[in-house]
Amino acid sequence: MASSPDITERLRLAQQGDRAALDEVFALVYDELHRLAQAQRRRWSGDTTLDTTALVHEVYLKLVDQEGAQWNDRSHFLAVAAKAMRHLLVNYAERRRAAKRGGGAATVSIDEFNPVAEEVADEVIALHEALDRLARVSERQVGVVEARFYAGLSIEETARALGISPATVKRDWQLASAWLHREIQTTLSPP
Amino acid sequence: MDPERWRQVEEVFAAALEQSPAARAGVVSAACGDDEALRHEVLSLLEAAEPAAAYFADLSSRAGVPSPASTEVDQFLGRTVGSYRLVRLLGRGGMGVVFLAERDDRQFEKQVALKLLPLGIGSTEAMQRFLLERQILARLEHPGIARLLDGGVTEDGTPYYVMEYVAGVPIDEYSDTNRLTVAERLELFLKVCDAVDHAHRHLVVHRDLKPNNILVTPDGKVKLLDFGIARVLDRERSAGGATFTGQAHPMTLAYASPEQVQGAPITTASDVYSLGVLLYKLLTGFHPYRRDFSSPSDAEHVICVRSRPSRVPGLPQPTGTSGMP
Repeated sequence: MASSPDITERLRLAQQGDRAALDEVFALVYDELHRLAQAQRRRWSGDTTLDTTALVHEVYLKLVDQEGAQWNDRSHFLAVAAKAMRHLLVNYAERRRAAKRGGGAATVSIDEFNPVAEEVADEVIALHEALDRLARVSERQVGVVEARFYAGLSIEETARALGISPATVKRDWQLASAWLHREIQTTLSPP
Repeated sequence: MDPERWRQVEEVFAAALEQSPAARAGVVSAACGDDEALRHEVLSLLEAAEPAAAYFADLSSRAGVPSPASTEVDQFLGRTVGSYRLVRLLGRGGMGVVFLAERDDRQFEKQVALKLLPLGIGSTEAMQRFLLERQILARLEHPGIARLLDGGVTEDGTPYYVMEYVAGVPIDEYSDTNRLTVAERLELFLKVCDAVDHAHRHLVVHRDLKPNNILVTPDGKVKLLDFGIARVLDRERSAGGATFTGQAHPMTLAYASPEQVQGAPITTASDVYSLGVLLYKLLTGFHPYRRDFSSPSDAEHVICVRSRPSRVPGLPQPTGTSGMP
């Protein structure tokens, strides 16, 4: 696929608060992630584990014109891609759950490439829903979790992507992960 | 929970984390005054912090989301390893990171696959073992085996292999996409057996035969990838003192033999077992266990304990004789 010439432009508009531009970037990235996730099985590597970090970075290389990109475009792009990855994973998890409820485990083919294993589907969904609740009190912390967990960004990369300090990333991650963990436990095994 | 309340939690939580674990409760009590609910909430979160770190690291590996520490993939792009320049990421998994690479000197316009193994080679002894292994693997010369071209250790001690780049698709997918007949599938399978046989005669066991390691090129040639590399990984990991906890993802056990799942010694028979699973899959369209494994212990149960695939209820019993040549 050719890189989209205007995604960098849209990314910059999104940074300035253009909601429509952000949605467009998100949709583009989501579709490409999905396509690559499905293609990954056919890759050379020989493993069927979905490697979200590799995908996110690959989507960046595919969609963003490397020549024209500026230093911080990459960080901003990765933050959007992390969010797209979160939605992609929860989508797979929901399909997995639906398949389980629909026809029983026996009808789930081992060939259907759904990278989210049955046993983690509930957790992936619980995490996603807990993040939605966290967003009501801190969008920033949600951004930190997305960047760190779904895109595997380092503390420094996350800080650049979100325009905050590394110390804040560290604190946010510690608090948010503790809170999310507690929420997930409650969802999965209610007291 | 409202945002204002959350700000208070944040503040006390952050202040507490700056203290030693023993001093935290005191700091929290002092900061919360008579706000009992706040004190309670922060203490509960502090208590959850450590298990949370472990939980997310674990969820990472189970959901295929790598932990943040091991993710600096694109730092490699454009870098030179040996005399090869890394061009593009081909894939990543428990077996390492694979890049499409080109000869750096541009003398040959040759594209290769360069695989960085997820190991650090610390000692000279380990390095020698790795290089010796490489020589053995380099001796495998067969049209059905992707050739090992080169290998070495990067400056920071990461061992790598350079292999023939194969543009192909996994054998099961190739067979289905091209709607191969049973006879054609068997022909393809025999080519695989031929390549495996060649390796076994040179006392090399593949250890990880599965469709994703058995590619078919557009012109119908079979190429086996990653011969013997699983062994190098196993050995160096155990030599390094780290416990090798088996394949990271249950899906990769789908073609493993009982002895592999149980961690028992592996012989050429392990490859033959995997070939059997592959043949089953190629001919019936189904995997013999008919489902994903939910965990390594589930895999062990299904592969080693449960009844034989031929007796799985619901499978049509074979009738008459097969058309095996």
